[in-house]
Amino acid sequence: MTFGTVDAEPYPWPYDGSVDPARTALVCIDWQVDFCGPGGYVDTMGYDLKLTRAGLEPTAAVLAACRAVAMTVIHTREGHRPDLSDCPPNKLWRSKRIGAGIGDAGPCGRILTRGEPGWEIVPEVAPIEGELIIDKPGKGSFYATDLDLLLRTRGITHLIFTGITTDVCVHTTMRDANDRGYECLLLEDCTGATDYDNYLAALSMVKMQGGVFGAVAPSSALLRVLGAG
Amino acid sequence: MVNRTHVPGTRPYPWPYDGILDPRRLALVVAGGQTWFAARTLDAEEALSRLRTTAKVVRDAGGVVVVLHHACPGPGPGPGPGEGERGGDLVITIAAGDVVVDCVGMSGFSGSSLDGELRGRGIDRLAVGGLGLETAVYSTLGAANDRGYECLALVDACAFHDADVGSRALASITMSGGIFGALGTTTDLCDALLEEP
Repeated sequence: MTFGTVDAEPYPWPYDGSVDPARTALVCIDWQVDFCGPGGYVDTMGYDLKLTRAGLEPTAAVLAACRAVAMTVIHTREGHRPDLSDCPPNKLWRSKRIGAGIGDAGPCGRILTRGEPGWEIVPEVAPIEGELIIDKPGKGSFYATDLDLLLRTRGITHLIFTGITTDVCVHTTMRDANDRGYECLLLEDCTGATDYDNYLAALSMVKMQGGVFGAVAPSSALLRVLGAG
Repeated sequence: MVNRTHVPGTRPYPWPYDGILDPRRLALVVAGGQTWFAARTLDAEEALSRLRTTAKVVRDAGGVVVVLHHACPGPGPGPGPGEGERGGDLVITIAAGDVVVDCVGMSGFSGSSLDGELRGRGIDRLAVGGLGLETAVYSTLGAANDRGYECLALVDACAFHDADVGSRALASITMSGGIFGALGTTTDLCDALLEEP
């Protein structure tokens, strides 16, 4: 079963006609306490959590709609091994310099460290049984993970993105996906950055040059197509 | 005893992070140096001119110049870098010893030998500039950073597609203490390399 075309910018998405849940995955990026919860990494750096939490409610609605049509749902988590052996030394140095050292103790356990409370996905958009989880050491979701293999094995060619932060982990993943030939859609109200203007610019960067990294749409446009709007 | 040297004036932190500015571990990476990008960016000639000057300093200091050659990414809608299968001819001159890397899409690491070329030469710090800050340069910085490379984005040698979006893209790089690395200028990089004993 396929659905219609999403009213997106700068072109109706997907380019090849209609949303097919069998070939599409919803990718939810880094909805972790460390990025949108009190006491996590982003909070420790002093950024406004309202910006990174803004997309939680619409993302929860999108998750429900995608689950209802049996679309593959993938969640990613950025975090390092407890011994930090997968953390590049410059990344570690920068985090300590800004006062939010990776692996250091914080209100939510050790910052950006696997297995800690801050590394967990927040309850609003938590994975359910059977959904795929990708643990990644970097900003992108393809590098040093099995994401590409999982997608190919399932015959998935189209990706719909939610998550945080727009200009860093979402962009790095979406750009890599686009370079690999996946047809990408970013849901503009299901994402946020540590700075609102940077968020807006990150949306523009997807759409420039005719949709150089894919397309952007409000979640309502996707929900309408899936019959949930 | 290691002599610590930083490029002056970089932000949000003194680059490189460890103060080891060894030209033998440095590559100047030119992204988007092709006709497709030149036709779609502002002040491309100015960026290219600065890259040419910087390339000479990097070569003379013992570093490597890497020029990316972007091809179209797969079967998608294909708006960029499209026009057939490639991003067009190179618009930057290649000198002896420079490395041209074919890549698929916007990131120099996508479907390419770039990581191997760099690691094989013991290079772990990159100064990145080129045409298309918001496209080829930003993609390459993000991918390089995940791989552990210490990156400096050369702000005066990056041509923007759009003035406002480009300046916000630079701002993004400086968030979280330098999320993909640091920002600096070619003149400051060249000064630091020329001072190296």
